[in-house]
Amino acid sequence: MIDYAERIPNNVDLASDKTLQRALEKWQPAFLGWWNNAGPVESSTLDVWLRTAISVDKDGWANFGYVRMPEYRWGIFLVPREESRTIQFGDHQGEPAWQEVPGEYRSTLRRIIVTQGDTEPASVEQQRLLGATAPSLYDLRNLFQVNVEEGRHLWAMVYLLHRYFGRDGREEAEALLERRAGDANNPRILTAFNEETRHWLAFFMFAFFTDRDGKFQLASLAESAFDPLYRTCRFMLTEEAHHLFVGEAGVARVIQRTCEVMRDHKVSDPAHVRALGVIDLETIQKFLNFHYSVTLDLYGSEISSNAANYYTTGLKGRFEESKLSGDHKLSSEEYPVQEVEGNRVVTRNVPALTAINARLRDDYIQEVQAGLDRWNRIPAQFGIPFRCVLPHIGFQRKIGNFAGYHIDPAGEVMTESEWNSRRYEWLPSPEDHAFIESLMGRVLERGKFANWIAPPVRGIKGMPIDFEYVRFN
Amino acid sequence: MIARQAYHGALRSKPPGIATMPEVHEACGLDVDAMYSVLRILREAGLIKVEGEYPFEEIRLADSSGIREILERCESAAIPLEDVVVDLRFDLLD
Repeated sequence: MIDYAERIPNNVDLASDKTLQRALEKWQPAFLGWWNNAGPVESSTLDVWLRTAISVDKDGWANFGYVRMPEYRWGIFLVPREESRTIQFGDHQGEPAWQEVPGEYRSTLRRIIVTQGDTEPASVEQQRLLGATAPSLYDLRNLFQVNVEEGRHLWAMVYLLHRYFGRDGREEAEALLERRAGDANNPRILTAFNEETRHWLAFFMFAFFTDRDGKFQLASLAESAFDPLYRTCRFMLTEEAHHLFVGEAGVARVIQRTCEVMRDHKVSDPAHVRALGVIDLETIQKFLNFHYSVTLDLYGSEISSNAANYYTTGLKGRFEESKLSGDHKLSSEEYPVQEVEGNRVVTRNVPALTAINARLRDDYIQEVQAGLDRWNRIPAQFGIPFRCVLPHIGFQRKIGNFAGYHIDPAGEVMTESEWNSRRYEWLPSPEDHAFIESLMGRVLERGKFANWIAPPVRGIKGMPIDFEYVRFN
Repeated sequence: MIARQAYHGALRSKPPGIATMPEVHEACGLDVDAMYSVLRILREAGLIKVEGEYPFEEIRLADSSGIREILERCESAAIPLEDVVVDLRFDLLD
């Protein structure tokens, strides 16, 4: 069970390590300072209906209740240790999982943890202004739930840095609070986490596409030979699942509302659809193209000696490594990877060990496609022929085999000038952003929702959902 | 968890006995795909009914499942429902 009597709630017996406890209690006010300065604006006095983890086991892992976010009990929660856990892959396969960091992997593991940890506060910073345009109390509450849990994930990574990496870890933990998303002088580490989240469609797309990369990175880290990292990431995945749902359901509700308006008013031309105050499906597709392609870059280069090294040394596995059959050293396996040859995209087989990033990205794409398939049920139900489609993996890429090439969503290689002349056929234009921002307006009345998004459920006899998810005092 | 959401969930405008996807998803901690897989198994086992279209599905406990009665007995006895259902410890309700 989690000890909430402690100043820092935890299930790692923090009280028995006074040095570590003092270090984290010293970091805690800096974290709260970051939350107040870079977290959700004008939110400190709101009572928000939030879930709080109370346990990491089957007896109900979360409680729900009103909380003021600065008083949220951020803490350190790891799944219980399995005494017999062994390393499942790489050169150390079969050996007992590590309870301390081997010296030869120290700097590499620290960099992996810092990179993961940096994404957590970044998304909170990117989303901090969205409360001002929340389409409903329900959605405002979901935003805050996601935000506080990303804060909790930062705590998870900082615990590892403090506990296992000494002074270097403490310095990295401080630096995690100093970087800022989009800051030209001190930006966040990964490009996708410096992009603006200008409105709620962007937020839902981010939660569906980019948080899902987070899930896959956590899942591969949750295979780690370093047992505390495995135990930390396992619990983070439980919390992350809801963030993905917020994204998927959010986009689905936007599509639903648009389809309803198209049906009721018998319109299909995007200009006519927009005139009715909803987001046309073609624009939704553009945002899908953007967020998907930006997220693909987070997987790194298709061919990566770093990723091969992480795998061989046991630091980071493949997605669901423990459930995969076959060779867990990848000494002779091959994996298909796409690249550009001349003016076309071709596939060639490469050593699987060098294509770890490509495989993780492909696992991600499979799951994303399943989400799109669910979205596409909605226009189908309305008899609308439009379908959301994932663009080619080479579309709008800046990292890996497709960087430097100009490929359209269908996978055709073209010249830079032709691609640029057509970019706003495929990507959101400034006018597209401006239109969506024009729809954004805060809706705080209980049971009410902005015109551009459907309520999450139907309610009884058409009555709205009127639970007071956020109380304004 | 479905039983709890069906009879105590936060979306007050829904009829009792219905668990909605947002409530179920948030409380269960499963990925969307994993949740749908579990729901399919429970539906095929005849323990739940899933009504409505994505993304507005509603989940009802099947009348034959007996879960509501078990939930009520657990609550009156202050025994966690999970202790009875997960490990099939119906002796705890004696």
